[in-house]
Amino acid sequence: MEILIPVIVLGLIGLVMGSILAVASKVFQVETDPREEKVSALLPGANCGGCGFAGCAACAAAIAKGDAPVAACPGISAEALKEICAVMGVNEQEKTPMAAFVQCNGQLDKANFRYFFDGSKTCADIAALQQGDKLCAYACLGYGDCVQACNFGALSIENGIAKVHTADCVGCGVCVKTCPKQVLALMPKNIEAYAVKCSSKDKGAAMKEICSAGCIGCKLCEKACAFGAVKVENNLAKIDTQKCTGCGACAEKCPKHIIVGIGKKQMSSAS
Amino acid sequence: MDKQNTVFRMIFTLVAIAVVVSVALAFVNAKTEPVILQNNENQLQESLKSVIRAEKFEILSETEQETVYAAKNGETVVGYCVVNSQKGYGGDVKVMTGVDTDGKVTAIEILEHAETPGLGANAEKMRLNPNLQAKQKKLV
Amino acid sequence: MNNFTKGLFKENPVLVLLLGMCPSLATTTSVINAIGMGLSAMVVLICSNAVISALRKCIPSKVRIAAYIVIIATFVTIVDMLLKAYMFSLSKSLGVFIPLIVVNCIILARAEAFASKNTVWQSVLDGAGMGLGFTIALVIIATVREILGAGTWCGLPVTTSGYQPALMFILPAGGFLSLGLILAAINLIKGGKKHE
Repeated sequence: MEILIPVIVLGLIGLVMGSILAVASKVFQVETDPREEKVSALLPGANCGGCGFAGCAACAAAIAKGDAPVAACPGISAEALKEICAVMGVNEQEKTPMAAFVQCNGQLDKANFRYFFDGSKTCADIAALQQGDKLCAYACLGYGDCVQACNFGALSIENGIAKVHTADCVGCGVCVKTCPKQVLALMPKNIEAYAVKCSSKDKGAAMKEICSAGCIGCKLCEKACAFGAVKVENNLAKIDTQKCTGCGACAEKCPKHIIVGIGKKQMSSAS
Repeated sequence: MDKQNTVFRMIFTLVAIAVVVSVALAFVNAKTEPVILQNNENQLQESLKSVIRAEKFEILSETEQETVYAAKNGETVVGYCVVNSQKGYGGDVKVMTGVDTDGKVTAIEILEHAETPGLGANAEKMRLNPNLQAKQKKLV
Repeated sequence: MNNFTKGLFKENPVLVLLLGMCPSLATTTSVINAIGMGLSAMVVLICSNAVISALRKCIPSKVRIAAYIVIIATFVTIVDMLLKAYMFSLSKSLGVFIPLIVVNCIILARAEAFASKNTVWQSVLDGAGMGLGFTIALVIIATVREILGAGTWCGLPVTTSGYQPALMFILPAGGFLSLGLILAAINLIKGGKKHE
C-alpha cells in the first residue's frame, strides 16, 4: 500500500504540529473580554478618531472595559448603538443623530478678498496669515482641510466654501475639530429647525464691503421669532435649536436670506 | 469561537487535513509520475541523440559527478557521451559532451544552467568550436 | 460580481495592493513565463480559496495559519506535478517559482482576508478576479521588460534590427525599475491624491 506511507508521515506531522500549537495556545493565552470583539464588530470601522480614541479597536476596548460610555462613538448608527447597549448589558440609550453644518455662505461671488496668496493652499496655513485671505475674518476659507479630514466623504468644496452632504455625514465631529476658523458645527438631524449660515461678528455697515452674504445684525429675525429662539449677539444672529420650532418666520424676514432649514427642514441635500 | 480552540479540535483538524491532503497528493502523483518519468527520459534521449548520432545509449558508468553513456548502433560502439557539471557563475552548469571512438569531441550540449540571460546564457547558442582540441580521455 | 472585478484593476494584487512582488520580478523576463506563472497562481488561488472557504467553520482559529498553508501547499504540489507532466518546457522555465507559489503573499492574504469569512462561491470569484489581476499585472510588466530587454514579445521579434535590446531590463535591476515606473504611471493616471 504505497498510499499508506505518505498518509502516515503527513498524519504524524499534523499530529505533532497540532500538539505544539495546542500547547502554545494554552501557554501563551491572552485573556480578552468577549464583549470587546462584539462591540468592535458593531463600530463603523472608519477609525475617524471622533471618539477620542486611537481608532475603533481602541474605542471598543475602552467601552468593554468601562472606560468609555456606550455612546462613545459619535459616528455610530442608532441600531448599532442599541446592540452595543445589549452587549454591555446597559439600558438602551437613544442616540441623537447629528450632522455637520457650515456656518458660512460666503461663496466666491459673494465674499471679498483681502489678498491673494500664491503658496500653500490649506485652510490652516492661510488662516495663520492675518486670519485668512477673505476680508471677513470669520469666513470659511474653502481650501478643503475639512474635506481631507472627513473619513466618510461627506464634505466637498463648492464655489469657494465647504458643503456638507448630510446623507453621508455621520456626525463624528472630526471636521469641526479640524476647521481652523471653527466654521463647522454639529446640528441634530432629526429635528425641524433653522440655523444661521454666517459666523461674522462684524458690524452691519462694514458687511457691505466684506461679504454680501454676511449677517448684518439687523435683528429682524430676533423680532420675528415668537419663541425666543433667535438672539443677536455681537452683530451675529444665533438660533437655539432646543427652542426653535421650525416655523421659519426668521428665515422669511432675513434680508440677506442666510437663515436656512436644518435637519428635517433642510431644503437641499447639502448644508 | 473559543469552544473551537480546544486541544482535541486543533490536533484533530490538522491531522484530518494532513490525511486528506496526503491521499489527494498520492493519487495525483500516481497519475502523473509515469508521464513525468517519460518526459525526463525523452528529454535525455533527445540530448543524447543531438550530441552523437546513434540508435541507442547504454549507461557505462555512473557516479555522483559524472555519467558516461555508450552510444551504439546495433552492437558496435560508435561513441560515448559524458555528462558532468562544473560550477558556473549562477550555479552548476550541466554539460553533455559527445566523444567519438577516436577520442575527438563531436558536440557539446548544455543541459542545465543558471546563467544570466543575455550574458552567460548565450553559451547555449554556441555549438562545437571546431578549434577545440580534444583531450584523450581514459574511459573505464 | 464585484468580488470578481475588484481584483482586476481597482484592487489589483500587484499594482495596487503590492502583494506577490517576488514572482512579479522573477518571472516577468518573458511574457510566456508571466502568463504561465499568473495562470498557475490563479488556479491555486481559486482552489485554495474554495477549500478554505468550505472549511472555514471547522478550522479552529489558533491553527488556521498551519491549516491554510497545508491546503495551499497541496494545490501547489498538484499544479507542479501536472505542469511537469503535461507542460514540461513551461515547468522548466518557471523552475523553482512554481513551488514558491506556496508562499506567494496573495494566496495567503486572500485566504485570511476573504475566504475565511465568505461563502464558497464568493471566494471562488474573489480568487478568480485576484488571479486574473495578478496575470494581467505580470503580463504588463513582462511586456515592458521583454520588448525593451530582448526586442521580442512572446518570443516573436517586434523591434527592428536597428534596436539594440537593453539587456538590463531582463536583469533584476531592470525588473525593479520597470515595476517602479509602471506603478508611477498608474498613480499618475489615477490622478494621485484627490484635491477638494
